[in-house]
Amino acid sequence: MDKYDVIVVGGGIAGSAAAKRCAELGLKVVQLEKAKTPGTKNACGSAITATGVVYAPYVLDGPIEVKSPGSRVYYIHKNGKYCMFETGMGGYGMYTIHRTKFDPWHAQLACEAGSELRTATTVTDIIKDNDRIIGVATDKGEKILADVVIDAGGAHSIVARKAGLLGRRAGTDNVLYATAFVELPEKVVEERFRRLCEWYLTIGGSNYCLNWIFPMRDGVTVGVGGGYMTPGLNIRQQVREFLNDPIVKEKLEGGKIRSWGIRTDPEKLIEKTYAPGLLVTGHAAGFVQPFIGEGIAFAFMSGRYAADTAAEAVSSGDASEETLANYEKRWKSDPLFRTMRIYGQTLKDYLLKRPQEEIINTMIAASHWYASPVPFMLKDGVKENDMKKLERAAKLLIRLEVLGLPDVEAARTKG
Amino acid sequence: MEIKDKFPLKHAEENPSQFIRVIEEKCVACGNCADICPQSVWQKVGDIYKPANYRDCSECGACWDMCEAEAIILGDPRGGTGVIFPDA
Repeated sequence: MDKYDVIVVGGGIAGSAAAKRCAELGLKVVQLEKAKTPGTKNACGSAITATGVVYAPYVLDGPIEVKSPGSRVYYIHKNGKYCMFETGMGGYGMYTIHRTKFDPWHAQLACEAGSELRTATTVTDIIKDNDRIIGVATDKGEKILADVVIDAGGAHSIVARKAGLLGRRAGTDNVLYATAFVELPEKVVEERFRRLCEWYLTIGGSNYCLNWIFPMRDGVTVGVGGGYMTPGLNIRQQVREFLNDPIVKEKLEGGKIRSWGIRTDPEKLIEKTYAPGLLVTGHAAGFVQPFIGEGIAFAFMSGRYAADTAAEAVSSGDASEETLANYEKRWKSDPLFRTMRIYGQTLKDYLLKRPQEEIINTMIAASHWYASPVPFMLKDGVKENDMKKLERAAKLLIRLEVLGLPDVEAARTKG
Repeated sequence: MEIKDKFPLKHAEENPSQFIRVIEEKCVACGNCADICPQSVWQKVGDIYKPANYRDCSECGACWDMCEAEAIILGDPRGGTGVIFPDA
């Protein structure tokens, strides 16, 4: 049987972030990915936010498609009216990527640091010794052992499920979404999108639908965040409606849909992200906020913290729950994570309870937050590791979103 | 592009083994699985639902999340098989 210090299950963002960091810390690590090529079983936004770059600055050396300086937001009212505003970030807010290019590059970085990558390898079970997880079994009949298993296996990871840490997530705890890559000439994308990431929101009165179009170089990624997983959600219908919207039709005119992806975005953190011999990261743990489109940044965060904790466990020869609990201490005290959590949750709570009319006004007003001191407070708070500054910024952000501002000149409405 | 009862997903050339199953005695035929499934994988067969069209599966896991009877065994296709998103 193969024996490693660490097994990383999953070749996505959290997995390669963990494998790279483990290797850099001198651990003997193997990374297992079920697809032939990392990224080909991911359906992603697909973009890295500025938050993600804070956690993993090395991504700027990677295969970035478009550096996006801001967003264009459409609020689609049920009576057919649109509200649209554009926001700048005072820098780059989003870095769009093709996961089928980025993930292999990222996994390659881990390999260059000394990690071993095995693709086309599906994990089928965990191996236990009493309460302790000591390895995994694969579809090739292999049994691989390790001091620590880092689960980066995605929203329905077999590892977290078999370990009893991951149960069903439905209702407002989970979103079902579809993505499509639409091929368009680079010049056309530049003209139509001007490098802005577009968001199309239909929210209000307990309804939620967040759609988006992100510019790449060779086309655009279209996403339909069909909604919370409740009976009656029909993702195919949501997609049809979005593609038939007159504004969307214009944006995609002449484009060719190359392929589709379908996945879920769980909004709920699992109760416990560690067990003896196991750390759970990324989507598996629920480090996702579909309401603000964030997932990648916290995959980088959790992968790295898992690696740091695994290194402690390996060097002390102790992968017990007590040692691995440090993983949870790390992410729970991360100031940027805490700030974004407050922001996303408050936004969600507020928007799901308000009628559409009230929300349209808030959306218009919310465009002003980008011109406010808030982004700079966030940047400084992170740089100075100043939790108080970050909490003030989060509270100010919440006030801006919830109360709105009196000046609504930034909006253009289309009747 | 017409999306009727499923999305035109791409799959690896090799057929996967059956990686989604129903635990027949647990199924209460609520139909949540068929309702949420983007790919019309789940079909009513007699008194219960079965993943008849698992080869069309997007591997999203939504059915497993929605099954309150916990009657679904959700696995993964063999390594390198199943759905792929080549332009992701």
